[in-house]
Amino acid sequence: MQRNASRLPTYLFIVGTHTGLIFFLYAHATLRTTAYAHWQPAIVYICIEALCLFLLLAGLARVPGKDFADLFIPLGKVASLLLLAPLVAYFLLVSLMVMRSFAELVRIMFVANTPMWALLALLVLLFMFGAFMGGDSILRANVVFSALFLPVLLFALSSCFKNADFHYLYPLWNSSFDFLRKQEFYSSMFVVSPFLVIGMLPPLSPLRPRGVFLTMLPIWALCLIALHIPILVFGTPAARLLVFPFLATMDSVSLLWLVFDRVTLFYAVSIMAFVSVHASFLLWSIGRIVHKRFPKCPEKPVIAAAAVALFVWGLMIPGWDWLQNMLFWETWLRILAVFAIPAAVLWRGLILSRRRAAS
Amino acid sequence: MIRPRRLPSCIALICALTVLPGCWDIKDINHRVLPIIMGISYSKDHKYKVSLQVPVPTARNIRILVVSAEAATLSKAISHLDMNIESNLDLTHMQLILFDRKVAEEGIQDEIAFAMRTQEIPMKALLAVTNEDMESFLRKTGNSVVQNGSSFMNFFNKNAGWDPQITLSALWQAFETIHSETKDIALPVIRAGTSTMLEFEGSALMSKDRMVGQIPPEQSLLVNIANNQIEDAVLEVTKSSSLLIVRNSTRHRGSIVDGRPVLHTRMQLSAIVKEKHDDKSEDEIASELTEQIRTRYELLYEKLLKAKSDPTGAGQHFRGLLPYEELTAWRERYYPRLILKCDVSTVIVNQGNISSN
Repeated sequence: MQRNASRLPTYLFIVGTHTGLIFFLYAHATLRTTAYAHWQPAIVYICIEALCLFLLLAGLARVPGKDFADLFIPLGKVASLLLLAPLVAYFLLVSLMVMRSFAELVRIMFVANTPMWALLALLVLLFMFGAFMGGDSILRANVVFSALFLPVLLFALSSCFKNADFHYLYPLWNSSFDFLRKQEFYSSMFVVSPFLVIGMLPPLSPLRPRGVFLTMLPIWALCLIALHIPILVFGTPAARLLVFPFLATMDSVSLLWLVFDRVTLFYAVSIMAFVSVHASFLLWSIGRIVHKRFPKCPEKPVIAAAAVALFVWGLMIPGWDWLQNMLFWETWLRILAVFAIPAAVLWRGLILSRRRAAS
Repeated sequence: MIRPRRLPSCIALICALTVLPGCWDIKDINHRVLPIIMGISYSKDHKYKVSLQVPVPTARNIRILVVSAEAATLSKAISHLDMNIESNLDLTHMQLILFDRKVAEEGIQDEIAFAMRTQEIPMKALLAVTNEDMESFLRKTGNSVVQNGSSFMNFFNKNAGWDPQITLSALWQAFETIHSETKDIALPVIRAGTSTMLEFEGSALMSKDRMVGQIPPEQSLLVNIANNQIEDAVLEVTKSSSLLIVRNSTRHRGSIVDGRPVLHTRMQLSAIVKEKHDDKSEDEIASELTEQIRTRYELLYEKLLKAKSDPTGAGQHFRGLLPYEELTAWRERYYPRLILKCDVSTVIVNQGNISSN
């Protein structure tokens, strides 16, 4: 009982990091990959995530209590840098993307005139504050956020079914699989990336692979639901035109008995909590990894530097289209991080456990 | 040990205070005006004429202001109005977007896209069409708003004064159906009433973004029955009786026979006898209603197919039966050739408190 209770924050954290993306960028990212039958790319994403997660967990389970940095640093200076540098860069990119997209959402939704720097400064400060508190605190904060905001999000989600027309599920089968040939499919693959944070969790809390997989099942179900709700309400062609399909769907719900006119405000606040959890943890991970690789660099200045980089970089992106273009350019980095890192973890795990067995 | 660690976070928190209060870019409520109806029509000199009905609260009551501006684009017209009104124009409480009939007939795709894009106009805002002059409509209806602030809302509110004949279509539904391959909407056609605030003239049939015809209220009732939109009782008068339809469930099933779409529609109505003239049995009364609804529904469909407008969403039932490439040609190739097989059944629930005249 005691042991299970101590694992709850970890599992909730995995849910939280995914929630930040699922209810936010997931629908748009998947909708743009193909014209119809969107469950196909969604299932492929789920399979990719399940496979990479399996590799990662299989590796981590063999060497308890070690994170990415602990596993890769003994490989030597060059090799560890080759593996860790792309990982750090990718963490930075993911946090940049969620931060900038969230700022854009807030701008589209409520404050069209507020300068970008003010929004970004607020977000960066929040993320940096979270990262300074350390991974443990982020996990604990996430428990509170989950208790407060997950019910709100689920309520908002279920209220959307009021307008759903299930005929839009059809046509069900797209035999061309054209999404596999589209670059959008690969650039949208960031939606599977939150599982990488699991690689930073072992020093904080013991992981049980079975538990992690059981946590992922509802997350994957949510992915499919969050993707299909805009489709059911707006129809595929209209849903594909929306930049924030999930937001629009929620705006369309008219609940006269609800005290508040716009459910979307709650949605934005809830999303912000989970986006902050995700981005803060990524920043903290960056600090952790850099500190372990270069022990002379203390964690906090690294986090602060990363935050400043985020801020400057976020300001340099002139608009939404540039953000999408950036997703294209870093596709190779994403594929490396999503596939190569879990594979390397498994390989290191096998070697280390064999070495330990031999000695 | 913890103390020095707290310093940066304290600074961060204090910095956040400068942005958090939100006293910035926000105009106070007393410096805003909140229009509730926007009318869009064409004008002679410029493309658009945008008219707004704005309630302005005065010391005791509200005053209704009707303002109009003409410009080449909608946003230009709105910003022109904003300039001339002493307060800031806030569209977030818009209830109704009213199209002049000519605008609706030309197509409303751009107008809907504008409204969706701003995020300021709520997607729940309802749409309607009018044949009247926009400004005089807004002025006339404004008078009843002064007497009863919520009279306008009640006309369309399902929990208040809405009637089952009135088709309701929100902004998001227009956006949905303009882009959908297999579905359309019907917009209510309204005019300012002589004794009441609004009068319902019928429904505008839309084909994608264009208005292609109009149906009278008794046919738009059938559209709502076919969409299972009846949440209220509705009175039907047949040759020998008056019946109150209290419940309805309609199911559609599509099938393709020899390359032609066939739609099977089953309507199940439950009715209560309100009045009857001849001493007819329940069965006779029921079959009268059944026959009446069926003939009228078939007539409606003849009209819909000719106009290529599909407010009952018949095409939705063929999405699973046709490949995607064929679906995009649904409106042109399949819908006009649709065969309707309508099956209505009526159950008389009771005859009220007396069994016979």
